[in-house]
Amino acid sequence: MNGGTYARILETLYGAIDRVNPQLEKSRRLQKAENTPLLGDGSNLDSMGLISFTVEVEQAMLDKFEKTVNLAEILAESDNPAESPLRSVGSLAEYLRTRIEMT
Amino acid sequence: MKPAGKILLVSDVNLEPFARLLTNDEVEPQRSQKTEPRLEARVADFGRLHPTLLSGANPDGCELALIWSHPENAVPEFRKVLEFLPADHERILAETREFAGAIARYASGFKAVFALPWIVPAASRALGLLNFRKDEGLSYLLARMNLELADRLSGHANVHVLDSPAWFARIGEKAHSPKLWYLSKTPYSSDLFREAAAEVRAAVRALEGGARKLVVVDLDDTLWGGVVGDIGWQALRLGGHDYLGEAYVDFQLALKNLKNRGILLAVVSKNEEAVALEAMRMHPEMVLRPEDFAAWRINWQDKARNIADLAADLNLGLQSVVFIDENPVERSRVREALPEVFVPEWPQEATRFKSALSALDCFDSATLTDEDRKRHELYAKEKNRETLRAEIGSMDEWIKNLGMTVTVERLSSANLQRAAQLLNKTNQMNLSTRRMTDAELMKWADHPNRAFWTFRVCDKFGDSGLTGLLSLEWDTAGNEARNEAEIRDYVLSCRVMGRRVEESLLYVAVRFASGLRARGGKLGRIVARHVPTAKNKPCLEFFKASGFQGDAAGTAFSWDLERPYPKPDGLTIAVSE
Repeated sequence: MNGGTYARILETLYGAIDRVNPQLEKSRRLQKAENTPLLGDGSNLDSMGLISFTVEVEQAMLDKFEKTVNLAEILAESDNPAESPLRSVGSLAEYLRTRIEMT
Repeated sequence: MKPAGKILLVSDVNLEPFARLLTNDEVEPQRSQKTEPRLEARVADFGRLHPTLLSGANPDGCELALIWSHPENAVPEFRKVLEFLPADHERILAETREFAGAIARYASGFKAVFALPWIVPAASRALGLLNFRKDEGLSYLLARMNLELADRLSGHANVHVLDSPAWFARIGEKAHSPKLWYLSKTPYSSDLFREAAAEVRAAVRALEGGARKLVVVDLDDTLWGGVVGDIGWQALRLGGHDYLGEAYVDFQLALKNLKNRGILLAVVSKNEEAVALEAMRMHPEMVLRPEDFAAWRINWQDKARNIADLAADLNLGLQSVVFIDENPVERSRVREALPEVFVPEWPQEATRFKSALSALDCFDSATLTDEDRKRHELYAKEKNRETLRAEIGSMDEWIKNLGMTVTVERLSSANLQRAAQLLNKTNQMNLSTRRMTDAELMKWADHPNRAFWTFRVCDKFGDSGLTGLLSLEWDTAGNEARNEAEIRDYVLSCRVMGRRVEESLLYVAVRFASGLRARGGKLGRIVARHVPTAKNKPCLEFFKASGFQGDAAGTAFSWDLERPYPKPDGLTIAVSE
């Protein structure tokens, strides 16, 4: 069950990547991989790109899981990227899985 | 891929995500064109809508601009309406006119400017029942403001009001993103921006003369239901009390509507020609009859080969062609063999054919003239000419038999729109492939050392309309020292090629330049410089055979003004000064 939810969330995040990538230069497009960094020095997303991505993820979570998540709050509180759920695609998927399974 | 054009986005909101999409997106296959313009978008400071317009600011030297404003910011008095406060409606309309004036003045610094009408703010019920009440409702007032905006901008040839309310209607409730608004002052979702980007590209393509001109359709299971060779025309699903039959009739009507706006229709189908034509003639509910098609290739040959032959017969480049076939194998074959032909993905079920056709943006053009509407008729007459040519052996006799008159007129406000359209859409017989808006063309021609003519061609089969352009420049920087007059534009529609109209243009050019020389000018020769493009080789070939002297590189051609250029035999040239 857990693995299935995680896999579905990962697919949802990859869908959000597909929607944000057209806004990015070819060389800065996000890879559909769990270790793709989202926040911090290794990320290809600037602040506008990160906002666009988190809004796409929030909408997709509402559409596919009927769950409201507020990633903007997490973004605002991410003083230390290394500890943020937004540090990578995989860590974000894990964070979203726990949110879904808690409710 | 065409070279990038720079577009400046001027708005009262943050359009950075839209700018990124316009610049970086790879276009969806359904809407993709081989000739898709590539844009580089820049964003003006979104807090300074009015100051940007009023100052004429264009720091990056963009050729294009998009004005995407919101009514409460563009028209300050309108804000009161949103707040349900008493508002002065006459003042609102006056401020709308002022805003339109600011756009028009700002547009003078750009090749083209796109302005968007206003929509009712997101998720606003406003006054509900009263929204369309005269002089009271928000929707009523916005409609009046939008009409005022469109009316005021309609006199400016390089300003185009885009139908943005249709974009919002297509995307629906997901067009707006409240979260993005509060996070970044971007009120719209990526869905809406994708729609907007496709529409802006379509508009740019239309301005560049990239509209498709010919739709080639398959027959069985595309124009009608069933295989006519197997079941006979009497058993085809077409019309009747049958939902699919009705859908095929509607698709044919939609194709006929395209024909009415000047898009040519043709058939390429694997069938017995006699059987297929009989169906088109005999079926009582057939909307499209053989005479509705400019040409057809109905045989058992490869469809890609047939399309290429058919386009060549109609003197059209493959970049003008759209191919519609319900069979994915045939679509794939044509895409692979003829990459310039646009082959849209096509729904499997006929109930969606009409909407699929209506959604195509590849026919968008910047203008729609009477000549566009008559294009099919013109091609039908061309068929008659070709029949006559086949019956009469020699070229001289054929030309004489046509009874052609070429009427030459100076560029004027009366022929400007059609002249600019021809200049911007002609690819093959085009010496320099200069592209100019109406205003740019008139400005260029309005010079004492320049002349710009239009050519109309008619014969016993009918009027081919304004089908040629010629311009000359002399005693200006660059050619004064060389004592030469230069042919800057030499443009001829493929409709009249091969009928000695080509030579008529040169006859007029040389005659005019000789007149200048006779009146004391120092001109010694007239020269034409071919600027090569991927498509204008036919023009180069003509000049090589024209009698003009080619230079060593084979790209510049000149005529000594001591000799007259021979007047083409068998036709009348009427010069109207």
